[in-house]
Amino acid sequence: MNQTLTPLQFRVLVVLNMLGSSLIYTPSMLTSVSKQDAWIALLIGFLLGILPVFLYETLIGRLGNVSIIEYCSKHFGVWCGKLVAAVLLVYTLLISVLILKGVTDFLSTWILNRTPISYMLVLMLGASVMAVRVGIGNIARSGEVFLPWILVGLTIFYGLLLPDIKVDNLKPMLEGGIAQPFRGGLAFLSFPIFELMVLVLCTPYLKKTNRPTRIIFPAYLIASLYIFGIVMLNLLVAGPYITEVTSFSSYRLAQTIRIADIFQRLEVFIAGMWCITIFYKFTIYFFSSNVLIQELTGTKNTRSYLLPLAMILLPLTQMAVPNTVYGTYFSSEVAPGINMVIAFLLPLAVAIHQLFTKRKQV
Amino acid sequence: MISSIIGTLLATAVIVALEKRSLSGSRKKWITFGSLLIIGITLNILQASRLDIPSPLHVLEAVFKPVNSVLIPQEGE
Repeated sequence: MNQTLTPLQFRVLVVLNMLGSSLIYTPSMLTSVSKQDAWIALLIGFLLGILPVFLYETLIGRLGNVSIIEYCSKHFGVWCGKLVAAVLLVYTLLISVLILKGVTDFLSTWILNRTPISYMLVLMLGASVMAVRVGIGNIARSGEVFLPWILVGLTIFYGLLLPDIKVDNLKPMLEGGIAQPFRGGLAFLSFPIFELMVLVLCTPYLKKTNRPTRIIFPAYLIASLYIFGIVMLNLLVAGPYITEVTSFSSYRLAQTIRIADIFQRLEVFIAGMWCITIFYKFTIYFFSSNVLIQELTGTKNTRSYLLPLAMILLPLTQMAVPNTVYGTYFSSEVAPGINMVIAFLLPLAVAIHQLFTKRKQV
Repeated sequence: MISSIIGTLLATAVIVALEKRSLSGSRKKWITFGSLLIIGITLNILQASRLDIPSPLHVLEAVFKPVNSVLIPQEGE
């Protein structure tokens, strides 16, 4: 097992984690709240997001090679550490379930119409089990191979859509005042920025030497740029209304690409890129769930829990989100609160404690 | 339904056979592994039985819906 990450690999994981699922979901999520001002919402979300990113960076810098659970058990008692581990385990499992639900929804709607959902889940879980078994270092290294292709592919995809732009789609600007885009910005803050919390759980695997202070920020910038591109193109090409009512608007957008009536049906490429990024996102969550179970039970360095965990996730995904309506309701009405408490207030509390203990020692 | 249950049990047998060696010697690991496996089998059989089981997310919803309405400004406020 290769269990070390270089700073570059860590950044690759950040980009993949942010792009996964948000490429397809962010445009409709933002336009449903902010209509034609979705791009302003994204900018507000980006600016607000610098705060949690800064928080995660500080945590990663201060924790060193101690995991957040070990830190809590050391300073607040063993039971508090276990409680934090249990809460985070519920959180990682929840996000895993939502990711799996998203990918199976997408595949069964657009590509694999007649494949039973269980089979898609088995394939996805099987791939992730294999990936986590070989260690997080190898996951990140394969990510290093895929990421340039994904970014180049997305750039080509954006370039091909440029001729269809209609600037009138952005008007009227700020029709409902600044409050409307601001709420969209808060939605963007919850998903995908707060979901970067999972990478704080990967800190023990980050190499201790030559660790740069700004480790997440460059990756955050690149990923936000690409998400901004997809939101902007969705607005400019398809218009706010179609983006809002289509469940997978980016895929729908890719269907409109036609080059001289010869190159058509390029949409599967974006579906492929999306599936690759989402595989990495899910694998990181799966890896963290496994680590959290180990921390919770006090057993170290084992890969034996992966298969039972996959066996739990398989029915749990289908039970937890029985239909798309409930899934949409849950991710827009309940998930932001969960993200806020578990992925922001919890690390904030730890960071504040670190701040005060550091001062006491000096 | 019967075939799903048989499938679940077969999968369990395969998982136990695969992980038997890496678990030997540690009782704690066996207990964790066993309990995870039992949860997995239960959930799989419940799902195969096609009963109308309420979503486990309802628990989270009950806890975090109020939190959500306090922390995040809702429409019309």
